[in-house]
Amino acid sequence: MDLVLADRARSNSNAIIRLNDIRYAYPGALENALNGVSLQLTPGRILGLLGPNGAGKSTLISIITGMRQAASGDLQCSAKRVSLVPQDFAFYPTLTVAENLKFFSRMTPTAAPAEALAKVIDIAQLGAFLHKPAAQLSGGMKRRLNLAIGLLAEPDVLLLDEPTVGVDPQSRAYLLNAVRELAATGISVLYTSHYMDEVQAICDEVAIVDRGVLLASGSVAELLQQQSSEVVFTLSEFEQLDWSSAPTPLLARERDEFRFACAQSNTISELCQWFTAQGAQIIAMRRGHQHLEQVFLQLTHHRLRD
Amino acid sequence: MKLLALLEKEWRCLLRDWHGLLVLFVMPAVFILVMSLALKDTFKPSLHATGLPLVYGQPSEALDWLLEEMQVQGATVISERAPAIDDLHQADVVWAIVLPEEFDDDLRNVNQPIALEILAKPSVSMAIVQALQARLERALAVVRINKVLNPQLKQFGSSYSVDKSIQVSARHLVEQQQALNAVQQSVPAWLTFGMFFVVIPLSNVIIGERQQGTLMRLAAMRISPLLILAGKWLPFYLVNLIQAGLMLLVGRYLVPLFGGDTLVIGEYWLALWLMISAVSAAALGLAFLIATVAKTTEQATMFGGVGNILLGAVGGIMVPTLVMPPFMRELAAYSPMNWGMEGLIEVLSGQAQIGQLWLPITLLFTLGLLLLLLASWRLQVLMRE
Repeated sequence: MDLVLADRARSNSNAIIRLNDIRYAYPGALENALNGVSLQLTPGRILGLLGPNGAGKSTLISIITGMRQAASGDLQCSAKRVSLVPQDFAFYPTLTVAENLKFFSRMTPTAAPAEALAKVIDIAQLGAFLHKPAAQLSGGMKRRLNLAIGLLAEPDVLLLDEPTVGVDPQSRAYLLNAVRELAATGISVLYTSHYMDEVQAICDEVAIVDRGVLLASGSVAELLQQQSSEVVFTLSEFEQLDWSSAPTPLLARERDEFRFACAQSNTISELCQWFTAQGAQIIAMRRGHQHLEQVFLQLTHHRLRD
Repeated sequence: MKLLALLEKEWRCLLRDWHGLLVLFVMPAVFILVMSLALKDTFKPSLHATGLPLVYGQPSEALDWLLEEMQVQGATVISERAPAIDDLHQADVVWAIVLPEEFDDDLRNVNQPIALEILAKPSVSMAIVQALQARLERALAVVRINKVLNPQLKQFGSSYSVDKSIQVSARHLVEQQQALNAVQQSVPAWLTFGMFFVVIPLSNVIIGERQQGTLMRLAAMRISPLLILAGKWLPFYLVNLIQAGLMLLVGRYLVPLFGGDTLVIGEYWLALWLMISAVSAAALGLAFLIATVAKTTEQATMFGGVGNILLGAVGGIMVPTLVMPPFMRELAAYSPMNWGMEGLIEVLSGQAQIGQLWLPITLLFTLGLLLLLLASWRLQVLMRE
C-alpha cells in the first residue's frame, strides 16, 4: 500500500506553538522516543494527538510544557500560559473541591484572581460541590475538577491528556462540549485520547504518532480521504457477478456496499468496466475510511503494544 | 506566597491523615511508657523488687534475728528437704537463702565461719544477686555483733554499733545533675526513634502525589522541587516538635503515674530545641530520600521501617549502649539515632549545653542537609517522568 506519510507541519503564521523536527531520547534508551516530530497548535483550534501506548505523546506533551528539553529541533512558543490537564486525577483527594481550586490557583504563575476561580467553577459546574472532599466526587466530577484546575491559569494553550477516561456518557458529552467552547474563545487545545469517535467529533486537526514518528497529520476529513487506498462501491443488480473474475479481490461486503483495495489508480477504472460488463449498476462510489479508527489502525498497524 | 500555599495545603492534608499521625504520636509514647517501666531495674537495681526469699533450714532464734535484721517478714521456711527450683516456682519467689545445718550454733560462735548460700532464678540479674549477697553478709555481721558480741561486751561496760560506725553511700559521678535512669534513657531513645518514623506518613504523601499526578501538575506549573520539599519540610518539622513536646510530657507526667521515674528535663531549653531540631533535620532528610527513591508506599514502609529498626538497634535505642559489648558500642557511634539519643540524654540530664553538643548537632544537621539535597535531585528526576 502506497501510503502518503505526511509531514504536514504546514507553515502557519497563526501558530501559537510550533514544533519542528523535535527529537528526544530517554537516558539509556536505544531508540529515540521522538524522532523528528513537527506540528503546530493554532489559536481557537483543537489538535487531536493520537498514538498507541508508548508512541511518544506524553514525551511530546512534557516538551511542550517545558518539563523536558528536546535533544534537537526547534520549539517556538508565543503562548503566555500553557496549562496541562493530566490523565490522572491530579489533585489532593483529602482536600475539598474549594481547597484544591484555591491551592492550585495560588500555584499558577501569576496567582489566579478570584474572577478566574469563579469562572472555572462555573465552566466545570462545581459550585454545588465546593465543600465536598475530592475523594468523594464521582468520576465525572473528578474529571471536571481536573479540567477546572487546568483552566485556573487562564491558559492560551491547553494540553488535555485523555480527559474523558472513565466517565459516563453525560459527563463525557459535557466535557467535550466544554472543550469545544473553550476552543471557541480562542484557546488552542492539544487533545490526546484513545477514543477515536470523540477525536473525530471535536478535533479540527489530527496528528498520528507512533514510535516517535509523526505518521500523518491534517484535518479529520483529509485523513479519512488521503490515508486510505480503499474504495467502496454501492451497487444494484450485483447478484449475477462472477467474483472469481474480478480484477481485484473483494475485501468486504455489507448489504449493497462492496469494499476493494485500490492502491493503483487504474484499478478503479478496471473495476468500473468489470461491473458494467457483468451487468451491475454502480449507484455510488466513495474513497477512503468512514472512521478515524480505521485510519489509525491502518497507520499504526494492528498488533498489540502492551 | 507559593511556599505559604504549599505549607497550608500540606498542613491540611497532614491533619486529615489520622493513621499517619497516630503512628508518630502513639507509638513512641507507648514505647517510652513500657520501656521506662521495664528498664527501671536495669538502671537502678531494686532489692525490693526481688520480694521475699524462701529459706531452707531449721527455724531458730538466730534465723528470726537474721530475718528481722533484713526486714523480711513472712518468709516461707522449708526445713524438710533440699533446695529445688520447683519450690521457687510454687512459692512465686525469685530467690532463696540456704542455711547451714547448725546455723544457730554457727551464728552464736563468733570464731566459727558461717557458710550461707543464695539461690536465684535466672531472671535475677547478677547485680541484684551481688546486692542480696552484700545485704545478707551485712545482716549476719550486725546480728552477730548485736546479739552475740554486744551482750558479752556489756559485761565490760562497752558496746559496738555497726549502723553508726559504718556508713557507705553511693552516687553517680555527676554534680547537681540528673543521674541516668530508665526514663532519662527511654524518652531520648524512643523520641529519636519516633521522630525518624516520620518516613511513613511523609513517604505516603510524596508517593501518593506521584501516583495522583499532582507532582507532574506542579512540575508543569514550574514549581521547583526545592520549594515543594520546603513546603513539606516545615509542617513535618512542626510534627517532630510536637512529638518531642508530647514525649517529654509523657516522661514527666505519665510514666510516674505507672510507678516509673519522673523525667527531669533540665533548664537548657535552647540546647534542647537545637538537639531536637538536629534530630528532626536528619530524620526528615532520610524520610525525603526514602520517599523519593521508593516506587510504592509498600517499598517506602519497608525501607523506612526496617532501616529505622536497624539504625535503632545499632544505635542503642532498643538496648542501651551501657549494656552493649565494646564492639557494639563502637558500632553504635555510627548511627545517627545514637547521635540524637546521646545528645538528648546529655541535655536532658543537664550534663551538656550547646557548647558540648556541637558535634552531634553538626553531624545531624549536615546529614539532614546532604540527604535533603539528594532527595531534591531525585524529586527533580521524578517530576520529569
